[in-house]
Amino acid sequence: MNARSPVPASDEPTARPVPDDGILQGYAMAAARLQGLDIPDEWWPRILSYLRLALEQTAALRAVRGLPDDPAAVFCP
Amino acid sequence: MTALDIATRTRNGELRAMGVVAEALASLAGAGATLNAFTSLVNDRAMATATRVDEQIAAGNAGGRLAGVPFGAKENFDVAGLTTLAGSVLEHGRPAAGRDAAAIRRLEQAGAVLVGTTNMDEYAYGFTTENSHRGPSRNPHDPSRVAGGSSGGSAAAVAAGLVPLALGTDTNGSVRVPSALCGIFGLKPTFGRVSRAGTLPFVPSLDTVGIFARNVADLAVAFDVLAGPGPEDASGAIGALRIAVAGGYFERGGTSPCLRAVTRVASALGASLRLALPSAGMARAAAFVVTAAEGAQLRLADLRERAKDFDPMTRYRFIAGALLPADAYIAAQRARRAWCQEVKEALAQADVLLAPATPFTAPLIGQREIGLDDGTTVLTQPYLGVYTQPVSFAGLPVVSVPAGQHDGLPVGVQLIARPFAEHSALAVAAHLEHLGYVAPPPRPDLFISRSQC
Repeated sequence: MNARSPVPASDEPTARPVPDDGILQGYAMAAARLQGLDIPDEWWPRILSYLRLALEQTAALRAVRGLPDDPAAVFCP
Repeated sequence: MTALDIATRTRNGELRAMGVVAEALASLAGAGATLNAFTSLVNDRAMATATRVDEQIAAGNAGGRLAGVPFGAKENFDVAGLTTLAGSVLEHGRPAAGRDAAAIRRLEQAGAVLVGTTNMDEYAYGFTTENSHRGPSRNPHDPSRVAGGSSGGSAAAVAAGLVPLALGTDTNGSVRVPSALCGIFGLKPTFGRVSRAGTLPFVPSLDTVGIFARNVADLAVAFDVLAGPGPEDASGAIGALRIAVAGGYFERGGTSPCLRAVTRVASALGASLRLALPSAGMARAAAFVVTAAEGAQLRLADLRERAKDFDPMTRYRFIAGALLPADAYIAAQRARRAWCQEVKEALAQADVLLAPATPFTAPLIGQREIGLDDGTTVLTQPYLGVYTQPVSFAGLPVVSVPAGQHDGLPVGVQLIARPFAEHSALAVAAHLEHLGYVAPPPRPDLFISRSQC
């Protein structure tokens, strides 16, 4: 494991699970309001489906141990 | 005719650029309309450019490396005098571009002639070119099937022989996926190698300019023109190159015809080494998050004011991306740094890696789900990028080669090289082409013009 990694060395799972539908919808509606987005009701199921998928990917990334501290903010191969 | 044949014969005076371009424009307006590959034709401009090429040659000038070669450009490239639409109605009414994109300027400085702009997924956010505003681009090998995306119009046009070259962009696979599904060659250069100036961005930390062609020599010359010459592009000399198969992740999750194509190519090259790349799945997850977050940020003003005008194929994904917490993006970029290191270590053991280009052959237009060999069902659109996304996430150059067919539909293989080593992938592609292992399938009769019979 990378010694500089903030990921704890314990065996405790580090991924926060994606919240249930009610919490996710509450978060998404608040975030949309903060972003200035006006979302018709009928769009929410599709949006929440994609948001859940993105958060599941994020949860999987959070669970990876030993990632470097510094993000690849300016990418150069 | 290949691009190089056209250029050679134009420089020799056997052909006139005006004649070549006029024939291409006629084909695009005729058989080309069936494919819905082009969104606009620039007839007057093209004929004026072709006239200049002919006049320069008649005046004793040498003529460029691509003299008289007609080409198309994806609709997210600036074309002077046209509004850059990028497949969206949101861009209508915005000012026309004042000058051409750098890639178009480079090709035309070499004597090539832009004939029009090509269809794409809105803002390049897709793998199928099923654009709700424009209609889908169709696959020349079966018009009921998608051409792939997001540069699907460019790929369909080249595969049908309507133009020998076309420009595209590749963020997560948008050159490689349509190359594979249409059975042609496609090059996604190293991130940063070809200028993106004058293209409408989708994901700034991933976008690259790429090129489509029906043979490796055309692809290599076009790349030289776009990026400047490199060492032994497309020489076909692969003597010292070490070639390995990307194992693990890249050997699972696809249908057997696509996986077998890699085995055939590896066998032809005598490649027995397998490199596992265990974090490829993590890389795809991170690419998904980066794409969603960066893509949404660029479209945020329009999402606030005109969300209803977005293509329903992209609208909900853009909005979801705008709602992601910042730590999701940071986690993805940390994963990216780790992935780049893993890929660098793997490419210390091999010069070129082989991997499938797509998990299945061209799906039907409108096909929402598709079955895999293991009995699982996946969403067609996002899953098309399963093998391309991890590769572009590390910024690597890739040539997608047409490596056979299954049930009449093309299958592609990725040749992945180290950063800035496009010449290695092009050399392997040329070697395979010379041996007869990779080649575009024959074109359907509908798309062969009289002069080509």
